[in-house]
Amino acid sequence: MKVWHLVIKEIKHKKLSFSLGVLSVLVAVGVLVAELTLLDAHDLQTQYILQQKEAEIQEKMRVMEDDYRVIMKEMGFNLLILPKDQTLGDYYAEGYVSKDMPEDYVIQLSNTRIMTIRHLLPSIEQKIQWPEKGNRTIILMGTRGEVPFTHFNPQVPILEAIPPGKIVIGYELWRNFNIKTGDTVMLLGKTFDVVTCQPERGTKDDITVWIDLGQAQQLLNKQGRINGILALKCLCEGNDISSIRNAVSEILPNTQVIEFESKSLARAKARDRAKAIADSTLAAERTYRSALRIEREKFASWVIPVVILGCTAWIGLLAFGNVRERKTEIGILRALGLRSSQILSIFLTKAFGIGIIGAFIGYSAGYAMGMFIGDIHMETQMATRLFNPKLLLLVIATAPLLTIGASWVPSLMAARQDPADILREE
Amino acid sequence: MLNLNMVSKIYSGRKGTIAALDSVSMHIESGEFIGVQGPSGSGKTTLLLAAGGLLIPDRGTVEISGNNLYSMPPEKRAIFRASEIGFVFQQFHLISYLTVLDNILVPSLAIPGSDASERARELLHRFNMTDRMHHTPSELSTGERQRTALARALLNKPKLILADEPTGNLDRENADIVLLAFDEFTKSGGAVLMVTHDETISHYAHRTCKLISGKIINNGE
Repeated sequence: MKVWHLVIKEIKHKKLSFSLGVLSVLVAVGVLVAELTLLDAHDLQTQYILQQKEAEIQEKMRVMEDDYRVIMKEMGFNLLILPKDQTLGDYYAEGYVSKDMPEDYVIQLSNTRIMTIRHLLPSIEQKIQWPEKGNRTIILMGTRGEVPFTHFNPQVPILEAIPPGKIVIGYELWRNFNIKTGDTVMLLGKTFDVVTCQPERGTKDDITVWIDLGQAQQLLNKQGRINGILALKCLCEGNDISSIRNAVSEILPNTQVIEFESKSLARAKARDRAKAIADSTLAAERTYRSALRIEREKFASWVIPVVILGCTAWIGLLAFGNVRERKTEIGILRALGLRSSQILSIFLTKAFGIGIIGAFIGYSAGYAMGMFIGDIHMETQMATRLFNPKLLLLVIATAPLLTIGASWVPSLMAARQDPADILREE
Repeated sequence: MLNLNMVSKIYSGRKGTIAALDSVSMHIESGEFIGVQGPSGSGKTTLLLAAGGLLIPDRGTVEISGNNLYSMPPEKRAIFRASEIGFVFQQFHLISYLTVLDNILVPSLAIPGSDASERARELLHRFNMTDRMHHTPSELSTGERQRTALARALLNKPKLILADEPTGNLDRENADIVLLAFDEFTKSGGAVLMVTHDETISHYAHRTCKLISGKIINNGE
């Protein structure tokens, strides 16, 4: 006969007590495994969701790119008609036009039957100091809105004119000088009512003010002069702007025509904006998943220790009860020659059995529970990835240690009981 | 075989001290069956526990086969007890969840031996318990329980049996079986120290001592 033989017989006899012990380990291990499986499931799901979203966004971006191409083909070109003597290098370097031309050019153009040009917007601009605002360098832009073509049915104007006495302020300027819509500002000795404060554009527009063309010409002492004519939505066959250039040169020989922001640039901008939106959507999803994980981690961080401690205490109580119940048996075993170390081993072997069986069942239960709560189906590949052999080994190694630790004091009490006291009491 | 030399044991309690054993000396040879009689509280069980190496006396020595029991370390004493002494109790003290066979085999936990199972079956046969070997104690009669306890005490072939009122709960027929077994044990060279109220012990015991208030009044010689 061996000690384990005695232990097994006692377990078979006291099934309820043993089952309660196993149940305690099952609960402790189950909660631990379920929580960790749930966190792993969360990470896998996050990875899957983000991959899906990324693929979705890429597909949408591809579709969007095609859409932009089609839409922009219908939109036509945006052209800028400049004075012939304007060095393009200076324009590109400075970002504004320094030469001027007669305002009549726009009238000449509008009186022609040119079919390729649409929506004419004459303007004058000049870099100046704003004396009323500490000589801050600004760009003063005068516009008169759209000039209608006299030979065609008037189209709906793309941009409205700024009425005289009104002013539109660029982002950096209104923010720096704390200007609000409805305020009155002084510019070069004239009073203007602020009608619009522009949002940030990240271009020279942020240091630009827009006023009526006539008033601008007067303030800059350039009556009847403009810097350029913006022609929007110009159409030409085969996307070739050389035909428009030739047509304009014939009407206004002292001008030059350039493409004002190319379609590809516009497409790139649109694509960048769409990508930024997509990125922010992904970032939002990532943030949400991350916050959810932190929440689950927090929950696990107190639930796991509480459950493990509770179950350990319960196992200790069960072991204590078992020792008390078997007091006479311990006395007899000692009288029959069993050493106190053997008595200790009887109780600790039982504790080990409870731990090892509880660990196996607990792992299975916790794994299943984690999958159930994490909404993972058993037959999926994700379920296989969630099986963690290291965790299984860890619980198999630690659960018996936990039960032995919890049973240690009661077992030691059993081993140290004086058999003479027990037998005399009997 | 068993030699108790001026053994004293005093229990201290809230109500004062009680001398359970007061300078008790006793010698039992191999092949001797000694009965100890005395009223309740006279120290009979204390004498048995002290003789069995389970209760360290305050004074005196206990020797079995020339070995001073209480000069041994506890673990060694336990092994010595398992190999040299067999215990039989009035309450049988069988382990409830073990079968008759397993109960008899319990002492083999202390001294593992390959022939323990065979020996247990021999004892079952000897005490006419073979057909009961897979029964649990709750399924046995009192006589069968005591025969099981007796078989258990004999498993490791001890040289000394210490019996505490072994016939106290038995009818005459079963009591005789137990006493006859002790008689056979002494005939085979063993020694028996039995404390009892049973007056018929004088028919089997070679000597009967009287123990009163922890003192041997009559050593039966």
